[in-house]
Amino acid sequence: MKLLREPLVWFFAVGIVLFATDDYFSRQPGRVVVDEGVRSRLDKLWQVQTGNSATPKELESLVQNWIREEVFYREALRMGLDRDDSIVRRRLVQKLGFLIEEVEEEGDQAQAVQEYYQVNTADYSLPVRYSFSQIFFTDGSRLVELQTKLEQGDDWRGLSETSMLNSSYASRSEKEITAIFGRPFVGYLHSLVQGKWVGPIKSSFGLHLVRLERLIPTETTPLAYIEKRVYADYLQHRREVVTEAFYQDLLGSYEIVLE
Amino acid sequence: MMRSAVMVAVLSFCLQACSEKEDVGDGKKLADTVVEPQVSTPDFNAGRNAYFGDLHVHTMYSFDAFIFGTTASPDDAYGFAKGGVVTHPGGFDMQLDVPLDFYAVTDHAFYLGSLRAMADPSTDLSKHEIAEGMSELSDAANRYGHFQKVIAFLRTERSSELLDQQVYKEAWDDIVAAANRHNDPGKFTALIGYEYTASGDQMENLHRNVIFRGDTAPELPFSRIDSSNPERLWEWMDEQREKGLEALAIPHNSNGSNGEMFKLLDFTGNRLNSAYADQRMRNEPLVEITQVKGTSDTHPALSPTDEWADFEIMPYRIATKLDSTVPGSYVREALMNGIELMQKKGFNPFKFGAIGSSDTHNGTYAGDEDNYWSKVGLLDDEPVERGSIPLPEPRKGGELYADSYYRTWSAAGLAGVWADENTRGSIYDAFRRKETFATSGPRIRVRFFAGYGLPKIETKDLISRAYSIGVPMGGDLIADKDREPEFLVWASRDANSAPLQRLQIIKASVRDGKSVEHVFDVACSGGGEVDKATHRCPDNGAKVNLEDCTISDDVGSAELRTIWRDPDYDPSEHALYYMRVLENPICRWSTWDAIRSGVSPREDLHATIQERAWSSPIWISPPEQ
Repeated sequence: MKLLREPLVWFFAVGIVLFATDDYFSRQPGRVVVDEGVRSRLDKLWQVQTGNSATPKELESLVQNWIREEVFYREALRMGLDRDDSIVRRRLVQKLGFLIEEVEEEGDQAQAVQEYYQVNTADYSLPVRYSFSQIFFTDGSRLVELQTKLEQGDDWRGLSETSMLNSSYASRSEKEITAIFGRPFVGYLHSLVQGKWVGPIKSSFGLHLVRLERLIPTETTPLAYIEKRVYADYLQHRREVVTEAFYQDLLGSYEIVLE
Repeated sequence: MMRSAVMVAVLSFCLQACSEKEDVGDGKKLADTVVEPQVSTPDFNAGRNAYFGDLHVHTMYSFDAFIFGTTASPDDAYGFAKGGVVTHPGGFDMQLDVPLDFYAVTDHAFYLGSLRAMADPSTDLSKHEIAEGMSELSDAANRYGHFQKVIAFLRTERSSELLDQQVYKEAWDDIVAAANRHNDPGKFTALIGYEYTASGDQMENLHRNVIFRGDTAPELPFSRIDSSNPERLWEWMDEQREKGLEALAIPHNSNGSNGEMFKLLDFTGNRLNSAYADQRMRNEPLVEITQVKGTSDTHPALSPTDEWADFEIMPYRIATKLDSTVPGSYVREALMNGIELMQKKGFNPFKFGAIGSSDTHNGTYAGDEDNYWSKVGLLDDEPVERGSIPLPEPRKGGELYADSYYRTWSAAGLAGVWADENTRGSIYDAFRRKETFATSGPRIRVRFFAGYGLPKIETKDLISRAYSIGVPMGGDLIADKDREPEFLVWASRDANSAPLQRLQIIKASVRDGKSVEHVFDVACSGGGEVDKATHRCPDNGAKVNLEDCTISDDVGSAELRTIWRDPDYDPSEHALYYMRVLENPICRWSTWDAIRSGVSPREDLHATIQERAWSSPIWISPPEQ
C-alpha cells in the first residue's frame, strides 16, 4: 500500500474527482443542491461552535444561510470577482500548501525518520573538542628559558605572563577556540600532542606553549534523545521535497511565456 | 468558472479538517517552564566570567519588523543566537562566527503581532482599512510608505482599532515559551523581554526594553497603549515585583529623544525629587549607550575636550528626519547631572550602568563592520538603500545618494557582563549590580575596580584580591580624606578584531557646584608613555588602507592594563569614573560597502572608526558629614 502514501498519487486522485465533479456542475448551471454532505458539514460546524448538535429548526436556518451564501458566492465567481484579487490568490495558494502538507503527514514514518537521521548525522553531532593548557608569553626570546624550566619540572602555572586568558580550557570546539585565540591559532590545533608541551604557537595575543590534555572526538547524539527534533526536521524536509516535486510536476503542464 | 467554484469548495472542506488537527497537535502552545538548577554549572567562577549578549532584538511580531519583511520568529531568533542560520528576507543566510551567551527578544509590545495578523486575509484585522495592501508588500519604497502610514495611524485616537487581544496574547505567549524553551543553564541564557515603545508628541524617543529575571511573565506586557508616561511603567514594574515578577527597564536611543530622556523634569513637568530618583533607579539601573541607531555616550558639543566623542552620532529623532536636540539626550551628561543633583539635593536619578545591544529588526544580532547585514529587513539590505554607494541616477536635486538616515547608523552594539556563571539568575544579578559593559560590536573584555591599596598589576590572584579589597564596575566607593583610591583598569582585545590602541578613564566630578569632565589616557599600546601634561598617549601610527581595508598588523596591543591614580583627586567632591578602551582604526561598514562595490567611500561619512568598549561607572562620594 506504499502507493497510497505517495502525495502525488493523492493529488492525481483528488484531481480526477475534481474534474468529474466540475464536469457535472458545468452541465447543471444555476442549480444549487443541498444534499446530506452539506447538511452534515453544517451540523458539524455548529457542533464545533456551540457544543450541541443542531436542532431541525437550527439546521433549517443554517441551510438557508448556506444557500444564500452559495448563490452570492457563485454569482461572484460568475462575475469573475476572484480574478486578479491578490487575497483570493494568496489564500488559494496557501490552501494548496496545507493540502500538500496534510497528505504528507499520514501514516507511520519511524523508518523514514531513522533513514533521515542517518543521512543527516552531521546536523546531530557535536564537533571535535580540545581540552588543553597553555603558557602565554610575548617575548620570543623567553622560549629557551621556559623550555628549560619545564624540563626541570617547575610548576608550569607560574610561567605564564599575566593576561585575561585562562591557563586551561576544557572541551572547546574549534569555533570556540577561534573566538578566544583568533583564527591563525586554530590552524595549529592538529599539531598538538597529548601530554606534551608544543610551541611556540602564535595567537592574536602573543606566543603560547600548548599541552593537549584530551582530544574529544566527534559524537553523534543518539536518535532516542532527540526524536522529536529529528521528526520535526524530517517533516520540514519532506514538505519542501514534496512541494517542490509537485510544483515541478505542475510546471510541466504549463507553458510559461515571458514577455 | 465553475471549475474554480468546485475547487474552492472542496479545498476549503479539506482545510477545515486540516486546521482542526493542527490545533490539537501543536505542542508549541504548551508552556514549558524551566527551573534553575540549584547546583553550579561547570563554568562557575567566583572571579566571574565575561559573557556577551544582545538585549534588544525584534522579530516578526514587531509591527515595524513585519512591514520590513522580517519573518524570523522568536524561536528562530534564539536559535540564531546559539549559532543557527536564519535567512534574511533579502535572500542571504545570516550566521554568527561565534554564538552569543545571552539573548533577549524584545518585540514592541504595542500592536504585538497585529501587523502580521493584518496581512493574513483570514483574520478580522485584515479587513481594517489600514490593512489595505499589507498582504502584498513589495519593494523598500512600498514598505517604507506602509511603515509611515501605520505609524501615523497609531498616533491617532483610532489606534486601538488595530488591537486584537487574542492576537496580542498569542504572540506574547509564543515569545515567553520560546525564551523558556531555549534557556539552557550553563550554556545559553534566553531572557524574557519586550520593548515599551513610548514617545512624546514630537516623536521624542522614550523607548525602554523590559527584561524579566525568571521564567514567568505577566499575563500581558505594559505598553504605550496603557500609558506613554514611563513613570506609569515603573509603577507597574513595582507592582509586578511585589507579585514576585522581578524585571528591569533599559532606556535606549536617548540620542533620538530630543532632550527628553534625561531632562531635569518629570514627565508632567515637575522638578525631580528623591521619590522620582528612587523609583527610576529601582527600575532602571542600566542604560543602552550604543546600538545600530547610533551611540549615546556623548556628543562633540557636550564633550569638546574628548577627541573621540564624534563616534557614530545619529542626530535624528527616531524614525524621522527631524533633528534631535543634544542636551538631555546623552548618557555622560546625565551621569554628570546625576552627581550634581546628588551633591545639591541628596538624590541621583541618573546612576546608570552601561550596556550595548543591536536593536536588530531581523531577529538576528547585526554583524560587524565587515559583515553588516542591515537592521530593517528589506529597507536597508542593499548598500544603495543605506546610502553608502551612489544611486544609479542622481536624485532630482542632483544628490548622488539615497535620501535616508541609514547612513548615520552603526553596524552593531553588544552587552557584556561579569557573572559567576551563564544562568538567568547570575546574568540578571550582574545587571542589577551594574557589573556590565558595552562594546560597539567586538568582544573586548574590560575589568574595572576601585579601592584603597589595590595589589600590583602583575599579582597572580589580582582579581580575587580586587574583589575583596575594592569594588567592581557599577559599584560605589566612599571617599577617605587620608587615602587616595586606586583604579584597576584592564582590557583584553577581541582575538578577531583590531588590536587595542589606548586605555582611558573618563572622569566627572562636581567642582564649585558644577560638574566637569576629564578624559585621561591611562595606558598606551606598544609600551608608549602617557604624556603627564596632556594625559595623552603618543600616536601609535596605526593605519587603514582604504583600497582594501587592511590594517597595520605590527602596532597595537592585545591587552592594556594599569593601576591608575587620579592626579586631580579631591575627596570632598562627588565623582564618577568609567573606563573606555579604543581599538586601532578599521574601515567603517560604509567604506566596506563602497570598496566591495568598486566606488570611492562617501566623503561626508567617516571612512574609518575606532571600535571601543565602555565600562559601567564607579561612583565615589564624600563621607557623610
